[in-house]
Amino acid sequence: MVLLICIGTPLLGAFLLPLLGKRSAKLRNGTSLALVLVSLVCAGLLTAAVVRGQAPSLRMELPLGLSLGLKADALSVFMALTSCAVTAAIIIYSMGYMKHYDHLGEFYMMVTFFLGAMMGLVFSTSLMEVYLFWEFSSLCSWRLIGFYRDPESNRRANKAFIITVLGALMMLLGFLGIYGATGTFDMEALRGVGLPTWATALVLVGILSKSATFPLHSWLPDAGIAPSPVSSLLHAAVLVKIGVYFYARLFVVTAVVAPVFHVAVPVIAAVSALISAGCAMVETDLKRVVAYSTISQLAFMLLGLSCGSRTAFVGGMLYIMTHSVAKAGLFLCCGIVEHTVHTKDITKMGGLVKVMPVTAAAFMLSALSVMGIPPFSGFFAKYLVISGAVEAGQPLVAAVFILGAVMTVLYLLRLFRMVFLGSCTFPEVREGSPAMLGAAVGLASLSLLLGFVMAWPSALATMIGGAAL
Amino acid sequence: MMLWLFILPLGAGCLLWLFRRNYALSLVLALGFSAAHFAVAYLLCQAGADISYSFAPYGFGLWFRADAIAQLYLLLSAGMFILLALYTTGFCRDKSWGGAYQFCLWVSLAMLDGALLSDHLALTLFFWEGLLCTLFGMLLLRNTEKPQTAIKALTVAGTADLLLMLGIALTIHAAGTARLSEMHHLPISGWGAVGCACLLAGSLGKAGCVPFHSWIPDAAADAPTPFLAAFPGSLEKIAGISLASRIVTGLYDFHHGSAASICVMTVGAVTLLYGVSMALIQKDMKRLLSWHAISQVGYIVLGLGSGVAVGVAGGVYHLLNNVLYKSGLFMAAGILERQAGTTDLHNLGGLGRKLPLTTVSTIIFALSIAGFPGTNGFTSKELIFDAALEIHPAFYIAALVGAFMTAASFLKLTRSAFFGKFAAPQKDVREAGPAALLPTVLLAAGCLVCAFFPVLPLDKWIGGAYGFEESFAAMPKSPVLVGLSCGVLALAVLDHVYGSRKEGSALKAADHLHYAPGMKQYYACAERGALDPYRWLMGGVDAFSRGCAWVESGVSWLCDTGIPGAVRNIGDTLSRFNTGSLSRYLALAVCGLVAVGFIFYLA
Repeated sequence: MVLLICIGTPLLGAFLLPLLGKRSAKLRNGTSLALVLVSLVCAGLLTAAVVRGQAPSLRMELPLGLSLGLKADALSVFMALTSCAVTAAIIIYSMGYMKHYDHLGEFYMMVTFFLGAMMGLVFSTSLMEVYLFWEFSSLCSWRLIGFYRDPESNRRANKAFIITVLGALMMLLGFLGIYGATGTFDMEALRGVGLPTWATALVLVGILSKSATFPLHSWLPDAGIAPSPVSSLLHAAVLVKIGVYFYARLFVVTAVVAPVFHVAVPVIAAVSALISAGCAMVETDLKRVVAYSTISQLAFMLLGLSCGSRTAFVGGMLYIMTHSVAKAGLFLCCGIVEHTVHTKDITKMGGLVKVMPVTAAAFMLSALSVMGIPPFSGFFAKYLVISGAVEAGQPLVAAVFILGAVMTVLYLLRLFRMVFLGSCTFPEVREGSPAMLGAAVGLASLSLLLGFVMAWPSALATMIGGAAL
Repeated sequence: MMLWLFILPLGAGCLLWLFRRNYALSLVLALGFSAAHFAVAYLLCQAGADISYSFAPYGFGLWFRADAIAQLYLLLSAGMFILLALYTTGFCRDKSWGGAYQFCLWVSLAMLDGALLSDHLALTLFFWEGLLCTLFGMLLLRNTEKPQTAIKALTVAGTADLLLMLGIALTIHAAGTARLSEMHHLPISGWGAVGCACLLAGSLGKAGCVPFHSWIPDAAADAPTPFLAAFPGSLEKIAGISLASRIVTGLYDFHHGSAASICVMTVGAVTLLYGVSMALIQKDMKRLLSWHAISQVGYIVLGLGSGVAVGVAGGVYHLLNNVLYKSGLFMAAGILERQAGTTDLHNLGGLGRKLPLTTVSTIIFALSIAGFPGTNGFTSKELIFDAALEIHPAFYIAALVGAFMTAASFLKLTRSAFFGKFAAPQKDVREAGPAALLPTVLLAAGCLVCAFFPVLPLDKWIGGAYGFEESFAAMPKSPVLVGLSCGVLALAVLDHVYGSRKEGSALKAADHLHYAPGMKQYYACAERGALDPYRWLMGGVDAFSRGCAWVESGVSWLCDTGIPGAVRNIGDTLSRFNTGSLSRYLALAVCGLVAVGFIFYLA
């Protein structure tokens, strides 16, 4: 029942929001937050059940040996908790950021529905369900990226939609290949089963397109045209994590893939990490820099999940969580800056620390976590991924990722310097609204706080890793 | 008890921030907490302690161990910190950024304690990078409009720390454990060699060795003097050298004369020569001292890298001496900056009579750092010279050249600042208050104690910590080497006299070396920044980033133009088939059927 509430509440409740919006904007916004909080509470209850050793599940048999099902395990509740918490912060932020825009009914509906799709995806036990929710999320991201409805926004939204949907279609072909080889779409039945290499490769294309990995990444920087809460939701919290989550779910926790993928995927990830970090170094659009950073950091997650070592896997899972929190914080700070100075061109900015000290501090805290500096939570994840890659016998790949980590420090420092340090270019601007600041500071503080309570998420991640490797 | 080593500094940092406007209370707090911290460190060293508490999987637990080496460095840092705390509190009085600075400084002490006591490499990294955070914060505090130095420091030191991370991962992989106490003489071969190299790069980078040194001279211009005394002067060196000494004495199988030893000594020699040669031409006291902070690490690394007992003992003793005189010199520079309003040697002169205690202290520091006979610096340098000669004469010659330049630059510094005529702006100059003067004088006294009683620090503390059986505190064994060292120092004095007379002032005494053929071009290169590894790094990153942007533009073109264009063209082409001809449709249907059949055949 809790599973159904967790998924159904945002998924179905989202359609009420435009109607409620006609009566009162506050009611709509509050309901949207409440729907997400219900999911968050349910995810918490499911986590408690999983920690107690239970595995809440639902299952429905269909003809032709097909089935539909939902199941909560350590991996799914880990993702559900992370996604719900970050989405809740983003909705709070949106209440301040978005209030002057039109089409807010659609906005809140899509954001809430998006979370419902994510919940559905993480708890699904069947590949066909995964595909369904996967496409739901693509649909939402298409509408959200094209929020402003001008031709450029529409063009970029179409680009994101086409790339991710084409990737999803390749993935569907891969699912059919898996069905052809094993006779089932049920991931429970696929546990420990070897997957055909070509089908694995097709599914991987879908994953890489969704998780914006080189060369299927170019939609993500373009998606920065959307409002900042959307960017935060897509880039940081939910959408791009779907791919890496599903990699962990299918290729690590469930089925067995050919050993070539333990080498090929880290290499693809390494190339993606370096190229996107290089792009972040020369980019002058605030949100594009952070978007390239997301691509680069996604590669770290992919490395952790793919290289075949338990330590790296745990690091990869923690990376998903810590990066979600920190990157959402970074995007929200960027949103405050953009909202206040009305430009995204960092060459026109500077010295904002004087007029926006809280935003600058929140930005720096989040950036330090993404850089992997202790005691921020990002440090633990980065260290475990690198250490695990070495443990898996891939020290060369680990060395390349160290270069990627150096680049991360460089481009984030460059961004911080150009936006917040130097002489003040906008002396008249002020901090954002309390809701916006609260959400950004909350996420930045969470990045730090998680570092001190790393025992809890890492226990959950170890539980996942223990089941998988 | 061990946890108090963290609780006290963190508590002190918060309280000092809170009561930053009350100077008297700040002084009491700084002295009280630093003394209490030293007392806890001392008691811990008497009792010895092991703490093992795992709070997260994969090694992220509290694994502390106060072994003999940790005790040595812990007491050194705790003792030094009392003076630093006193000096800093005096310096930060009435400064708007003083409270935040004090907080960062005390957090740094907690981080340093953690790094020294950690018995787990991952935990070491945690504290090590924590030091990086506070370093960045302290450099940024009063420089938000000119953040270049803070950015540079974080970039350079961050790169060293990331190399350390790789080294730690490789070392743990090679050893099969992350506990330092369980790692013994790991082989330096294959990936183990890379691990050892990365660990050394990280630890020596923290100490300020080439190529991770370049932020230090910049910090001399931008950072407050207490920062220079605390970080390049003492705390970072203690952190870096403590780990480096563990690597060469027990962690890895580090033989004297091995390739690893030669590499480390080469790095030491380059650091020494580059640092001291740059110091020689500086005309600002803080900048000159910052280059010497680099060159002195070169001596220490030369000693440690030799892998022989005399070299390691000399290197570690040189660290202790360096902490005393280099921090003292920075403190003296701070006094000059505050009392005379500048550290530019062009505007200083004749301060000896106005600042007698500062002058005497600075002369003691200068004699020690130059290694004049009878000083503590002389003993440690002679030990390093012995070790360098044992490995290869080239290292010995490098050390002698370094000694010559060190002596020459300190003759220039002391004569320019403290002797000669008064420079105009300093007529009302008088000694600083006790908070600044007392630590400086005590450090000078420390240098004298070490000079007259080297047995205690050298044989009892250092020898005891590293398990050396022979005594190194006696007069160096080879009179020939001592004679050569003295000869080099005499040559430096003669050169200074010659230069002063030739150029007409003590400040320009090294100009004939600066503009000598070959040296002139070298210095021109250095002043253009062509020898700055940070610039190389940023140049490389810039070129790489442009390459990536070029690749990215290709991918974007494919997605935005290439593929949509191709799809449009294919569509246009296919639409030409749509002519209403039945035979054409039939042919297409047959082709489609063949294709489907082929797919089924393949399946």
